[in-house]
Amino acid sequence: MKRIPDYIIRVVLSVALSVVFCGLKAQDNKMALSQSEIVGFTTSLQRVSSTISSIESSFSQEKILQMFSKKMVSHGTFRYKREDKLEFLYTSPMKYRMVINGGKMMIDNGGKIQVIGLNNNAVVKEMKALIQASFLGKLHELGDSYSISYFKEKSGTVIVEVIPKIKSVSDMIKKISVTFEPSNYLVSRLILEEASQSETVYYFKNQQINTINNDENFYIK
Amino acid sequence: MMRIFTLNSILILFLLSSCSTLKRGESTGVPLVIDTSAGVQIYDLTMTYKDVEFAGLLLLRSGMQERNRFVLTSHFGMTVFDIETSGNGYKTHYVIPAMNRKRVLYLLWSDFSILMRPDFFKNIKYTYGDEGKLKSLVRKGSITKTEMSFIRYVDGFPNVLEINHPFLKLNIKLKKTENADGVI
Repeated sequence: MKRIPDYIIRVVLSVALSVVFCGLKAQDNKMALSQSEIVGFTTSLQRVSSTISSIESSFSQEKILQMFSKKMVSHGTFRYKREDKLEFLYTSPMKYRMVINGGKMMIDNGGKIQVIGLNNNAVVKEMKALIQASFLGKLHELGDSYSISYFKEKSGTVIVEVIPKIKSVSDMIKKISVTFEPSNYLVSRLILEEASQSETVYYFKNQQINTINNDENFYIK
Repeated sequence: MMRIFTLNSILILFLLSSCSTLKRGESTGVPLVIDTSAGVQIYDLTMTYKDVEFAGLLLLRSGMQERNRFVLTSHFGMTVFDIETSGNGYKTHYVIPAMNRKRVLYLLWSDFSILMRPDFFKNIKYTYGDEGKLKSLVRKGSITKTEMSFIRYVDGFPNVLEINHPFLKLNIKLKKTENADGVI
C-alpha cells in the first residue's frame, strides 16, 4: 500500500485548521439573536420606521467579481419615499437612473428611457419588496417566500439575512443581508449574494430623514 | 536600380508602420479589434432587442489557447451571464434563466469568437478603413447574419464596437470604458 507523503498530510491539516479557525472567527463576529432580542429589534424598527416618510442618502455600490479579482465601484444618490417609491441615481462612473414607483420601473440610460412593468421582472419586484420592507420596518412580514435570520455584531449592528425561497428569485439571488445601524435603525449596508458566485454590496451614507416633500424624483413618464 | 530600391524602401516602411499600429490574426492577417494582451477589459454595453433595451457592463479577459471569459453585469450589479469561450465551444459558469437557451448561448459564443478573432469563421467579408484598420465585417447567414462595425480607434484598437443581427432585430453596442474598476 502506498504511504501518503508527510508533506501532503501537513498541507491538508493546515488548510483544514485554517478553515476551522476562520469559521470560529466568523461566528465570533456575528451571533444569532435570541427570540426576545428579535421581538425587541423588530418592535423598535417598526416604531422608528413609522416616523420616516422619506430617506435621501448617498450610496456606493461595489460589485465583486472573484473570477477577475475585480471590484467595480459606482456612486450615486438613493431616494426612498413612503410607501413604494425608490430612486437609484448613479452619477459615477456612468450616469444611469432607476426609478420604481408602485408597479412600474423606469430606466433612464443617458436620456434613453424605458418603462417596465414589475410583474415582468420577478427579481426587481422582489428587491423592491425587500428594500421597502427594510425601510418600513416590516421585514418580519415578508411571509413564506423568504427564510429570515437575525444576527448581531459586537458593534451592536443587527444583520438580517434573507434567503429567497421562490425559485425564480433563488435562481439568481442566494442571500441578501441587510445591516441596520443600532443608533437609528437605518439600513447602512445591503449585500446581495448571487447564484453566479459574485456579490454586490450597497453602502448607504449621510442619510437625511423626511427631507423629500414631493414626488418629482419618482415620476415615471 | 535606384527605382527598385525606393519601391522596396516604401514597401518595408509601409509594412513596419502597419505592424506598429495593428495586431493581426495569425492565419489570415485580419487585424484584431480587441487587445488580447491587455488583461481584463471593460465595455459599456447597450443591447437592444426589438424595442427592449438593456444596459450594463461587459468584462472580458482573454486567456491561453483562445479561452476567453465574458461576464455581463447590469448597472444595478446583478450578473447576467458568465461565459467562457474556446475555439470549439463554450462553458457557462452562470447565465440568468431567461437567457439560458442553446440558441442564445450559441449566438453569444459566435459573436464573442469573432470579436476576439475577426477571422474566426471563414465566410466573413471585411471592409478596411485608413491605415488598414478593420472598419466593418459581415458574416452571411440565414437568421444569424452578423454585421459588425468598429470605430474610434485609440492605440490601434476601436473604442466603439457594434454587433448587429438584422434578421433577429438584435443590436449590441460596446463602448470601452476605463472607469468603474478596482482590484480586490
